[in-house]
Amino acid sequence: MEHETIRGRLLYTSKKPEIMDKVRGGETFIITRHVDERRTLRALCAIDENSPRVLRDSVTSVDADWRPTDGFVRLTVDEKFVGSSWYRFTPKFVECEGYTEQEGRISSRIEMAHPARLFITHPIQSDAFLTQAYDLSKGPGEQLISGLVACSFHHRGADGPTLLHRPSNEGFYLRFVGPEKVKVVAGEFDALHFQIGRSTDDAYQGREEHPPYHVWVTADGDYVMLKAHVTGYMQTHYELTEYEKRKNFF
Amino acid sequence: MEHETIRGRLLYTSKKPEIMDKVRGGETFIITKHVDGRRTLRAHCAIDENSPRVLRDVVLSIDANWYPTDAFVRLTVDETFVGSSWYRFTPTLAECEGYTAQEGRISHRFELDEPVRTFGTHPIQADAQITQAYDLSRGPGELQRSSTMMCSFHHRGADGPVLLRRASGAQTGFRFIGRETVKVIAGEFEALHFRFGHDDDDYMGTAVHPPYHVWVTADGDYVMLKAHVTGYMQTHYELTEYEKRTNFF
Repeated sequence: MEHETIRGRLLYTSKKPEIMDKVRGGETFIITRHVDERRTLRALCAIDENSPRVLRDSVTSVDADWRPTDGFVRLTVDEKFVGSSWYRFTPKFVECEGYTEQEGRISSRIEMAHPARLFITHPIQSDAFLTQAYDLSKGPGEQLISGLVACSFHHRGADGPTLLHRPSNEGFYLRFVGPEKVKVVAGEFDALHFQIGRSTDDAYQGREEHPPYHVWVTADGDYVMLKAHVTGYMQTHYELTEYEKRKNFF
Repeated sequence: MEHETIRGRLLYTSKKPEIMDKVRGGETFIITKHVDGRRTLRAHCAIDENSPRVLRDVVLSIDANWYPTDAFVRLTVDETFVGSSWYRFTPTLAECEGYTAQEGRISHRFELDEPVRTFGTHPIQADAQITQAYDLSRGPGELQRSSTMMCSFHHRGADGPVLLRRASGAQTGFRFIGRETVKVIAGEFEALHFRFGHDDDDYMGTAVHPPYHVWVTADGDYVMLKAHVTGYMQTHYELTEYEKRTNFF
């Protein structure tokens, strides 16, 4: 019996007219899919443009049902250490042990009425994993995803990392637009097109709500991010530039 | 001001005659060298040969003097989850919070008389960084280390990860042999040659660890170029990919 290894690299660029296609940062990731279907995602992400410049390490694991089991997040912002935290998920509680420059030594525990569904740690590949929560058997449409735990609610994930929980009646809307063929630098793939968030107005330039976040992930059950685009005032673009899927490690 | 990124890939092979050059596993790593001299090493390592087959994640950070500040280790052995632990080091304290399949929820704390000099987490690149503790201005010679902590004493690091301290007085030494030019798959480099353990490469016993030779870059980054454990082990490690650049991409 052998596990599967997926390696990838994502490039972060801008689609703002004044800095069209300028590189904003990037991400390298390695996913292990174990023989019992558990998965671990390691992502190293850099947002290298204007402050806050974020360098993030995230190692998150999920069980065979894609529910989080444990994680680690470490942050450097503007070349300064911000925090380093460890997470453990059980069906009844979530705990975090860590140290952040702002909070000092932290030790948090949240009792859960239901097991956490998703752990948000801010790598773009981690966002791709969020789309697995959509029940594809229902076809295109919109579903409310709840049971969210996050390490930071900052839009760049530039603070903490601490333990944050949305109440069970809150979550985010995930829209499945449909299957598509997608061509990116890393190759051509069968994709699933999702939109994260309720707004569908790509032309909306306001900042009161997050602009639509379109993501295209592989349709092979691995949910690898192929490309993503935040419209509106953000105009951020993400694209898979390297991709490898193989048995075992080498 | 910009940080530096070093990426590398190490191939693990055997030099036993019956399985000469057979691939045993490998390691990919990324090092960030921050503008203030702090460094973070992320290593993803696999020992893919006979049991225990180890899949290890390590994120290890050190300060500008190469003293550990914090770390994370996660282990899978023979395709089964073994443990996930977090570490924090201050000048007077070493602590670990984690969960292992064997021990359950663990919480370890050691008060320290002196800061931990090296934290052993078992990636081959982490071994390379241990050699930085040697004062090269002394020329070739031996260094005895006493303030060492580890996440596992298993020779493959296949258990824990917990927080372990060498018994008081126990010292683990290594020797700086000298400067050499080394050619590996990733290229030709100026290297520093070190050896952990004793000097009898022909010793075939298993009572003590055979000599462990390592060659690291001489540019101050201590990147593992190649390594070789002699004696009964006959394991070989070689850098096959290498990239050093400013910032991330």
